[in-house]
Amino acid sequence: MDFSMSQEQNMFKRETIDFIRNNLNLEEFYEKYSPEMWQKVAEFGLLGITIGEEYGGLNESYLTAAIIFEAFGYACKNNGFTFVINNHIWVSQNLIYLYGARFLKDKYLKLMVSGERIGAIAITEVEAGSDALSMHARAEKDDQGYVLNGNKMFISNGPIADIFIVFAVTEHSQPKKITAFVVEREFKGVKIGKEIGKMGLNACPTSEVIFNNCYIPKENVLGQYNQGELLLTYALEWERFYEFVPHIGVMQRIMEQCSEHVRTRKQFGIIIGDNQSLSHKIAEMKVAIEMSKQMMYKIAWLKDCGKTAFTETSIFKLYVSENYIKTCRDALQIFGAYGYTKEYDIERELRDALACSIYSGTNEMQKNTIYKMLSFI
Amino acid sequence: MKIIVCVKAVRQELVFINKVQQSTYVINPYDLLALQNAINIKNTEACTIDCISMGPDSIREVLVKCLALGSDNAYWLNDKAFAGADTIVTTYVLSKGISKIGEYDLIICGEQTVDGETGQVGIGLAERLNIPCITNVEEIIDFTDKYIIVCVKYEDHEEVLKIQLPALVVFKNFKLISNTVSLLHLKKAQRKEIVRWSSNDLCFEKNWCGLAQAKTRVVNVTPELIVKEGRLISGNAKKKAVVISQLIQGRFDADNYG
Repeated sequence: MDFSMSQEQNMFKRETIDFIRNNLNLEEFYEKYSPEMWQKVAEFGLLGITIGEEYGGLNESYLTAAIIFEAFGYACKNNGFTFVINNHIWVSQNLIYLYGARFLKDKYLKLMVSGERIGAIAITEVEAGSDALSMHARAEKDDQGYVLNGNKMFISNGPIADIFIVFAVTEHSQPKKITAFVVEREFKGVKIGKEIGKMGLNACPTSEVIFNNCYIPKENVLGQYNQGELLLTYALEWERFYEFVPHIGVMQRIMEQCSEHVRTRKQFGIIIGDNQSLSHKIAEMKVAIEMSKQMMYKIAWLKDCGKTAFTETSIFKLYVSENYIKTCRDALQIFGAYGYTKEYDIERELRDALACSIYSGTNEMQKNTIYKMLSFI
Repeated sequence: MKIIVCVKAVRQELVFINKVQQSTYVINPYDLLALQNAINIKNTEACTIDCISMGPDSIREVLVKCLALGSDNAYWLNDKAFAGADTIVTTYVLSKGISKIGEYDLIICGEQTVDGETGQVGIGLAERLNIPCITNVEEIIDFTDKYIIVCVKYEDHEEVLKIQLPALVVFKNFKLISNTVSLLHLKKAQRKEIVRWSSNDLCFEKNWCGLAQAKTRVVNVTPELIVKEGRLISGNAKKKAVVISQLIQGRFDADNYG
């Protein structure tokens, strides 16, 4: 196996890091969404990284995309903003690109790659979280299209999105049949709820999205009618990979901060890094980063080969999220009282990190999946 | 119009002292401004920009960056024999490279490099190519395919000069941060061929260049930190205004301030 990066990948990575450091680490936007930053990312060309050139994308491999997004997490201190971009690319734009009909691709992709339209995915409901298939949102078919009714909860990018990938029940048989739709914010009957205050990731606005007799043209079915469950698994696979790739970069950034801190701060006449209780924490961070990277390369390779990575992405999500939280928690301990203050970034990093054991399927659900999939291996 | 921009790759730590960049080499800040001025012309007039650089294997990315920023072609004078060149040798190799490129209207150089600090390449190159040269250029005011008009700034006055083409102009200022290069431009630049010429391609003997022919050697370059003395103006707004007024009028008595 060849683990070396091409000259092109190296240059993309370096340019991405320089671009982010020069443009995106603005403290005033750490806790709120910035349309100006979104525009800059769009102009930089990051949104269409794996999308075909006919839609304004770069047509790069999934491995190159992973390398770039790991670098993105490393350089971008605004984890909420990283979340906005990933939601747009991987579980909205990417689904249209891979599973949408020609009409949908032609209608939406150029606008999404150029950043003129922001995407979001709407699966979760008040009563349907981990048990997503128990959703109540329903779409009734008529001659020209579908009438959608239902409420979707905790929709990341909800307040800023123009295009929603919405999952709804289209047949009340047992088991229920689900279909995915591309729904524009401007469609009649779409209402965006109030922004939901969160513990972290505040640069990524979240809200409820309400569909009240929302009329969807029949062309806006994403994938096949009544095949939404399959699309849902595809969507989660992409989400569990690319939402978590940047976390490896964040872990690297935090590890470097910790490493510098323990090498410069003295207590009892010695640098605190000489205490194994602290140096071992940093060693554990390094191990987690390296192990996560190995998994990242494998999944990117699988996706570039056109293969499924359902179990692998569950393992990846579980491993990266647990270690991302542990890294932030350990960093807080290493920085002591300073880490707990608002002056340092560590407390915010921890607040941002904590959500990752919940979103994209809770870690408990990942363990269920991994165990269930053993029978297929 | 055809413009040739001479570019040198310099180590990033000489440019960004407190801010670590990802690349080992970056475009010399004086040359970056020269390139930016060429791109400004291209934005208003049909022209092509060729970047030319002499340097080792590790500077390829700097030329890719030049292409991504807006250069149409990149020429890389790359030969181990060129190592250790001083300005006499550098101008010789560059002049050979430029002659091989062919016809041109304008050559743009930066005043100096942050690693060599000699400021002799622009002038020396013009001499070797036997074309007129203007240094201390602040701005290109106007241009046609026959001449350009430039503003030249000195400490106490400025001049507006008209010069017939082909000519060489040397920009006096520098630019630290390049415009953001989009990933798409970067990808297109990576697909472009960079023309690589060795001493053989330029048809001269290896012992005519490099360290062997260099008349000078830069032993070391260290940044000098110049600390200017400051004075805090205290008091209320009215008192501060009086002091500032005195400063502007040159009547401020520092010894009796306080």
